Amino acid sequence: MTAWETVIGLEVHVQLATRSKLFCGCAATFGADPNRNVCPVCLGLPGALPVPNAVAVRLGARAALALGSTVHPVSVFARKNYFYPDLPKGYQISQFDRPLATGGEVRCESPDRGLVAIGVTRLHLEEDAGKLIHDWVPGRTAIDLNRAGVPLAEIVSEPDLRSPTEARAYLGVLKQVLVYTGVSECSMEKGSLRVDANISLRRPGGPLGTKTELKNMNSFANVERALEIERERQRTILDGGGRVEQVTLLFNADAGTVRPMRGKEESHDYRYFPDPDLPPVVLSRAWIDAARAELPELPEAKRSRFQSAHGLSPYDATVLSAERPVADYFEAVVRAGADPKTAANWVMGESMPGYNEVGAFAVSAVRLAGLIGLVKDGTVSHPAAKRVFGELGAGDEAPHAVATRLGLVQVRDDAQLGAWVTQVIAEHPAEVERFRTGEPKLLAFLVGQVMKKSRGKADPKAVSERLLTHLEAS
Amino acid sequence: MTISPDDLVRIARLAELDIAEADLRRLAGELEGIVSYVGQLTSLASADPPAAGDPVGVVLREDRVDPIPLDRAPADFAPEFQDRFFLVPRLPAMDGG
Repeated sequence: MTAWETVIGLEVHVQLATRSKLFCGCAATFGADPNRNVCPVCLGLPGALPVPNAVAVRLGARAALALGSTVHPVSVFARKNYFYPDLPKGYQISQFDRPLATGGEVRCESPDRGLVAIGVTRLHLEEDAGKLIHDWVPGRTAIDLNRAGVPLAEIVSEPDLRSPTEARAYLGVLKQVLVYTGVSECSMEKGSLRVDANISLRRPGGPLGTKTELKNMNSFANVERALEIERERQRTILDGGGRVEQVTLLFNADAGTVRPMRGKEESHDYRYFPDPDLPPVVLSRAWIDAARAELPELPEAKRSRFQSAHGLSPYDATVLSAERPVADYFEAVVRAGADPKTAANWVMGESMPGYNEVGAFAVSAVRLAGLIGLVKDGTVSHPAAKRVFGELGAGDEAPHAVATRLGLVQVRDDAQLGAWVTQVIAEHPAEVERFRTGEPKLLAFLVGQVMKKSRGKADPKAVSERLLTHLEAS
Repeated sequence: MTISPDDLVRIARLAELDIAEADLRRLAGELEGIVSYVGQLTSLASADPPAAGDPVGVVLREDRVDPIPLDRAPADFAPEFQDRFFLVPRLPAMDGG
C-alpha cells in the first residue's frame, strides 16, 4: 500500500498585548467580572464608531516583521458577517483581501526533516468575539462580552507542515518569537493563543486532498494529539476507498476523539466587505522602518551569538536563549564580570529552578557575578558558594558578607593549614603508610580529614598540595 | 445578474430568514432588480485605496483604558440578564459551537 503524505496548515490567533481593546477604550484584561469591560462600541450599540488602537497595529506589524513578513503600507479592515450571539454587531471587524502583512516564515526543527522553513501566508488584525456558556441556565446561552473587541493577530501558515510533531515544533518557535518581541503573552490557558489546524492526506507529490479543520485544542500537546487522531481517521477512510468530507471537527481531549462541528462555510458566505466606518490603515515607510528598528534580537540570532561570542555549547545556548528574561539575565551576569561558561552553569544550575517556579530571579546578576568571582579567586569553595547562593535570595547582603557570616570563607593561611595537616598525619599513621606504599587514593581520605578538621573552611586545593609536600618530604 | 429562487433560499439561510415558498419567485425578482441597480456602480471609474503616507488613512487612537460609559447598565437594556451574563435562547445551531 502506498504511503500517504500528511499536509498540515495552522491558523494561530494571538491576543495582542495592549491595555485596551482594538476599537474602543475598554480594558483588554483577562479575568474581570462578566460584562464589566463593555461599552457602546464593543456592544455594537447604534451610532457607536470604532477607532483602531495604535499599539495593536504596532504590535501586529512587529510580529509580522519578526516573522520576515512584508508589512503593507495600506491594509483594510473588513466586516466578516455572521450571526451568532458572541458577536454583538452581527459582524466581526477583521481584514480580508488587504491584510496587514503577507509572506514570511518560521524556521523550526523537524524530527524527520531537520531544520525546515514553514511559510507564513498572512498576518491580519481582527477583533475577538465574546464568550458563550451553554446551559449554565437550562435552555439558555449565557454571554460574556468582555472579550468582544479584544485585539487579535491571526497568523496563517502555508500548508508546509508534514507531521503533527512538526506542527507542535512550529507552534513552539512561533510562540517564542511572539513572547520575545512582547507581541503577546501567548497563554493557551488564558486563551491568548488559540490554534485551528487544517489537515489533509495525499499521495506524495500529488494534488492536495480534502482537508478538515480541527478546533478546541487547549495545549500544544493536544494540537499534536488531535492531529494524530485525525490523521489516523482520514487514513482509515482513504485506505478503505472512501472520501474525506470537508468538515470542522472539535477535539475532545478527555475522550481522545474528534467529532464534526458544522459544515465548513466557504469564505464568501461571510460576505466580507470593507468596513465603511474605518478608512484604510495607512503606514508610511518611515513608520514601518521604525517598527523594524524596535525589534529585539530574536531567539535564533541570540542562540547563534551565544555560541560564537560566548563559546557556549549548542545545548547551553538553546536553554539560555529560550526565554528573553533568562537570556538577558545571563548576559548581565557576564557583563558584570563572570566567565561566560561558568555563568551559564550557574544560571542553568542554580538560578533557573527558582525562575521557573516564580518567574523572576531572586539573586541579581551583579551579586551572582560577585559570587562567581569569590569561587574563582578561591575565597569560597564551589560547594560553599552554593550555600551562599541559597542565602543571597533572602536579602541584599553582598556575597562576601554572607560567606563570612556563614564561616565559609576558605582558610588559606599557611600556618593554620600546616597545623591541620600535621595533626591529620599524626592521627592517621596507617593511612599515611598505605599512601606511601602505593595507594594514592588515600590522599583524598586525608584531604577529607583536614577539611573536616577545618569544618569545611580549608581550601581543598591548598590542603592537597600541602599534604603532598609533607608526605613526600618525610 | 440573475438570481434564482434557489439563490434566494441560500441567501435567506445565511441571513437566518424564513421565507415562504409562495414568495420566493417574487422576492428573487425584486432582489435581482436591486442588485442590477447597485451593479451600475461597476461602470464608474474607481481608485485604489490611498497610498502610503496619504493623510486620509484611519486615525489611530492611543492605547488607553478610557471606555465610553454606558447610559444604562446592561441589565436595564438586555432582554434577559442574570449574574452579570446576557442570556439568549439556546439555539440548536449552537451545538458544538
